[in-house]
Amino acid sequence: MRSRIPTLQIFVTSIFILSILFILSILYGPVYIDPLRILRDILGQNSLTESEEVIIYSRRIPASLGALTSGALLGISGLLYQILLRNPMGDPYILGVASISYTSLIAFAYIAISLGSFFYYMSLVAPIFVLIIALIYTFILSIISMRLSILQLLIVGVSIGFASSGASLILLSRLPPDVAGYLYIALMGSFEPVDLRAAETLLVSLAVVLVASLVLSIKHLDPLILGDDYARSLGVNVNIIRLLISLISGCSAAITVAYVGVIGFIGFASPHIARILTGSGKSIIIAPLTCIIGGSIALLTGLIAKTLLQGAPLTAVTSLFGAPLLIYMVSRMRGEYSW
Amino acid sequence: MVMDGERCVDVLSLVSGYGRRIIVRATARFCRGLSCILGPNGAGKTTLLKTLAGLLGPLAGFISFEGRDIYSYSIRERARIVAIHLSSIPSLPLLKVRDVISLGRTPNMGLTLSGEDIRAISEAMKMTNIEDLSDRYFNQLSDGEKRRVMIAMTIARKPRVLILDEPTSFLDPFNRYYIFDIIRRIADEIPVIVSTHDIDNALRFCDKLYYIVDGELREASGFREIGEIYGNMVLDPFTLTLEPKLCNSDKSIHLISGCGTGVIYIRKYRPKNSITAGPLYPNDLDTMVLNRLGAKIITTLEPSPVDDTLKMIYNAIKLVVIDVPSYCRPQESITVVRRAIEMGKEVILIDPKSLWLDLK
Repeated sequence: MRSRIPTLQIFVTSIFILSILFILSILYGPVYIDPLRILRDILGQNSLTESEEVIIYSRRIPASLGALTSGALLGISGLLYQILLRNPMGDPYILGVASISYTSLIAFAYIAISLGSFFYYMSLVAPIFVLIIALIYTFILSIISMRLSILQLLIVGVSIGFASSGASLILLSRLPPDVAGYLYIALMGSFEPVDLRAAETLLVSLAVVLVASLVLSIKHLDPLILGDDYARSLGVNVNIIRLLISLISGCSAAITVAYVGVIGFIGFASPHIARILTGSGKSIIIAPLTCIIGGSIALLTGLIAKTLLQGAPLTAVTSLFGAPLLIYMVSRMRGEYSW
Repeated sequence: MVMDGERCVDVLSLVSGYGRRIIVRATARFCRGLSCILGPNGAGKTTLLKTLAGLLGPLAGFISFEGRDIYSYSIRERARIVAIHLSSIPSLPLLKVRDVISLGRTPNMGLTLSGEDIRAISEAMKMTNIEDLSDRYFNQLSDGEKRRVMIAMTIARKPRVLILDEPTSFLDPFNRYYIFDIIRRIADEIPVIVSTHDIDNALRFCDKLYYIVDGELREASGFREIGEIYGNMVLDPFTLTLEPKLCNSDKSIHLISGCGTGVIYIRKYRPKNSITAGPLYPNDLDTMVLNRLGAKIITTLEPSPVDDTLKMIYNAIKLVVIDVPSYCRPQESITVVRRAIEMGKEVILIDPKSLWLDLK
């Protein structure tokens, strides 16, 4: 990959692709509605029936926004973890947020059963419960992380992940089969349950996370790549920055898990795709591009999951379609992409 | 060396280490010029340098620059004053050389690189001669190039004190010399403190030599001390190499050599016996170096060099004669060899070429 496409061109193209995917994901869904009629209605000519309007405005648009924002959040979270842990395997769930969320969701199922109306509590209260637990976990882990080396943090996080997966399996096996089946589906990850309010929350979180990580990427992320000692000698308060990174990436992961479930691969792959496309490791370039790419992958896989492969778990689709792409891109690099 | 009373790093009763573990104590004054710190692995060079650079809080004592405690500055202010180059070279995925050096401006720059930042970056690249590498990926450079880039990164902020921890490790001899040459030029402007195992370059370039022994920083006053830092070694002041001390046994080998061939012989064969040598000219390299390494030597200044040498040969288990040209050996050596053969001693004749030496 000697001759590179200019960075600006990559940004413009990727934003264009993102917009196209966003529009497509509004126009197409499990229920067929004539795309032209949808477009006309959105542009202000009342061309949809009432039930179609419900589908478009309270289902498809929030779900598409949900896909875009959670993809972007996962991307940035993965990027920040890769920088924080100095590890190309960095991923939003690497420090156990996903497993903790699983476990808390299953634990909440017990509470919901004991309270009586299981489905009411599961659909309304469970996401908030999971979010709170995941956020608390992130805060605790971030604060502990200031006293740990990177390797210690990685091993602690991964081990907690394993431990809580173990706990969740035991909890899951003691539940009645219908409840377990419901949880199994709830855990697989989907953009469809995202309603307008959830989309709003995700959008605000993305705005905050994006601004925060852009501010950090101006001066504070890249010195960290040099190592803690170099970063310190460059005047970076390493402990504070590591705390911030850990909080931002952990919260991004926690929020997406609470609203759309666990969706693998996006957070791991988007930063790599952004680096390979631009041929740059500078955070100020990679951070926004990772968001765009993460959003695009999420929209694309969401689109595939609701049209071509209806009912397939999102993670399966992202991995199935994303992995070959990433393998192809990496195989075209000639040694310049090394960690 | 020009002493500049104002711009010095003063280190006063410094105790440096981790937690309760004291690694090194130091009291010193580092002024403009190149100060080198020698010491075996694990002596505490890195610990001391990190403390001086403000990366590791001192357990006790003071470090001040221009009279002000360096730990009284904020992290960012201190970063503008003191810069450190660390011995390990990081992996910097997909960062280009220019990006890496720009990182060096972090403590100075605002939100974007100003004209002044860019000027400082190109000056640093010019000084380390890496302008051609500007667009290359850091991870694809050779070790020598990476070192120069990291040094450029460190000096891009125009520090007022520069600290380098083993800047020549992993480098070939030319690059080691080259890095010291760059450091030397920086040291003409500001105090530079370097830790190194590169004794020959330290002796070539440094204004002041320090060493750490028994957890204490000391200023070296001569060659003899420097050899002793590394255990049973002796520093050869002429070749700037460290040589192992000669064995001390009651069985000896007698050497007849000259023009420094004796030194090369023992370097190559590392004899397990003690060494005697002679007769030699008093100003021969062999006389000076073998003497320092602990050999007994007979020079032509002695009243009866032939007889004294023969006494030595009589006691020796072996006689090694290096076949040097006549200008390398005193006339007496011919007599000595002839008499030794008459005495029935076995003579081992060595061609200087077998010592990789071409004497003309």
